[in-house]
Amino acid sequence: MTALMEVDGLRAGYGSVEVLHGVSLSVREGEILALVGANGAGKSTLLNTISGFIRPSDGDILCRGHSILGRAPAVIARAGIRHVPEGRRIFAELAVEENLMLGGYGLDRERVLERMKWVYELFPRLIERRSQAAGTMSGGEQQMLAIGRALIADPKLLMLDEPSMGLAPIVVAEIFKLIVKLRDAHGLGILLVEQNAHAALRIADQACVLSLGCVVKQGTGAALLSDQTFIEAFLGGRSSV
Amino acid sequence: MFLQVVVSGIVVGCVYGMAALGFTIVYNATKIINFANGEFMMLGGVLLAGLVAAAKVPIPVGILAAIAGCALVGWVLQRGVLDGARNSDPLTLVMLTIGSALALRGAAALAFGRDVSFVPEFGVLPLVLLGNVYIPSQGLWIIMVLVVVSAALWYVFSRTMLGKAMRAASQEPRAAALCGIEPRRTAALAMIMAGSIGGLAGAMLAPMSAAFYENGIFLGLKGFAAAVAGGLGNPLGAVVGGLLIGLVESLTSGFVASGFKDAVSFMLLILVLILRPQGLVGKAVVRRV
Repeated sequence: MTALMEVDGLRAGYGSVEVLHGVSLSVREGEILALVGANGAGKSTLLNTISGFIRPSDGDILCRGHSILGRAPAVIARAGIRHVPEGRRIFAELAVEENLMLGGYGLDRERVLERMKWVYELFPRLIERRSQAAGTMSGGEQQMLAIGRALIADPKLLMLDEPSMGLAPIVVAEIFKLIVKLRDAHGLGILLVEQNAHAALRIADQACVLSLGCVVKQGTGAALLSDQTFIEAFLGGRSSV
Repeated sequence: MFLQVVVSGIVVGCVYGMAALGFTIVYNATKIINFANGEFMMLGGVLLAGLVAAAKVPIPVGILAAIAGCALVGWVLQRGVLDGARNSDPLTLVMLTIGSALALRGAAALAFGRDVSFVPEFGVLPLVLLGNVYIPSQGLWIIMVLVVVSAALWYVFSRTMLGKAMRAASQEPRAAALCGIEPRRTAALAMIMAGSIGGLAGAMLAPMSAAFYENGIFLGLKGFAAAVAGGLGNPLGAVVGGLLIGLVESLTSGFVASGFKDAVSFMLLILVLILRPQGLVGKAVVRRV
């Protein structure tokens, strides 16, 4: 099976500072790839490069076998790769429903309204708040809105950057349950970037450990969780799960 | 006398309101203060005067041509000048708009001459006499145009996907791009809208105050002051700010001395900024993080 999205030998950075030193990974349909690593390892840089905000200096990014290198972020988004950025970045002054509609900007309106019903089924709390300014919602609700906004466009690959950031544990659990549901019931490919590595590895099919811009370890989520040296080196020795 | 002064203040205020709307739209789309905005209005006036007085074009056609010409200038300003430096910091971009304003002023002087030119009143609408207060026909035109422009803008920004996309791109440019919205397109569109409104406003004003290649300076300053007084980025505030500055100017000219009108209106702006930094209409942004 060809990968949904494949990154091959990617080098990228900011100006003359290279952050990613040849990263390769791939995500398949119906699979969660967890990308874990310390602060500054290059996780967000990798997502921003895939989304088209950063031009890589070397390497290739393939979407179902076709290179999307050099495309503008808006074009990549329309190609079915949706990035839910760190810090959620919802349109705070617009209503919840307007945020969702904009997720399907440029797409067929009927289809968008259909998808919106589905997103409301996934996140019933958004229905109650549909006409409220998005910025007045709680952090958890904003994260749900940010994911919902990405799902409206019927993406093939969802890239989630720190979806648990700043949220209460019970909300994090809810969001992780949803991520699993999106994989199992809807066959989405998901690239999950998380600081909370334990939680991410538990739901991941595959996992990559990024350190200082290089993939230093790769394997199934379960294998990494049972790897004592990895746990000690990268997760600060917290081997209890 | 008092009411007559108020009427002329409202008419001038409508023109400032349209100038302020241009600042607001571009600011909302790009977070840049476009100091070439006053030049759109100047160009609207000299284009109309050139076409009507020199080329004997009918007034309605002249107005449409002025709008189209200014829209084109706006598009070129965005695509040809500002886009090329879109990764620069905002201050650089603002400097580019000031440079473009100077270039447009020079181009207008070269193309249309350094003389004041006149445009006949549009007519059609009657001169209205309410008690002993006159509303000149051209004044009625200006008030009507402001109402129509405001209603159209309200519709675009609160009812259409395109308008919402423009607002989204101004709040969170990156997230908007991740939704498939092209920030360069919304920026160009905003500049075209500002150009059209400026061209229209300048054309409306030309029969009242003559067209002159240096008009853009004061129109730009007053429009900017109105946009800030009303709350930068708020279209309703732009109109309210414009009307307020027009009224204050008119009252100062009528009851104090016309030489003081600019001083008084800018002092008012400073007062507004001290007492209500978010502007008259603006509300402090409510946002949970």
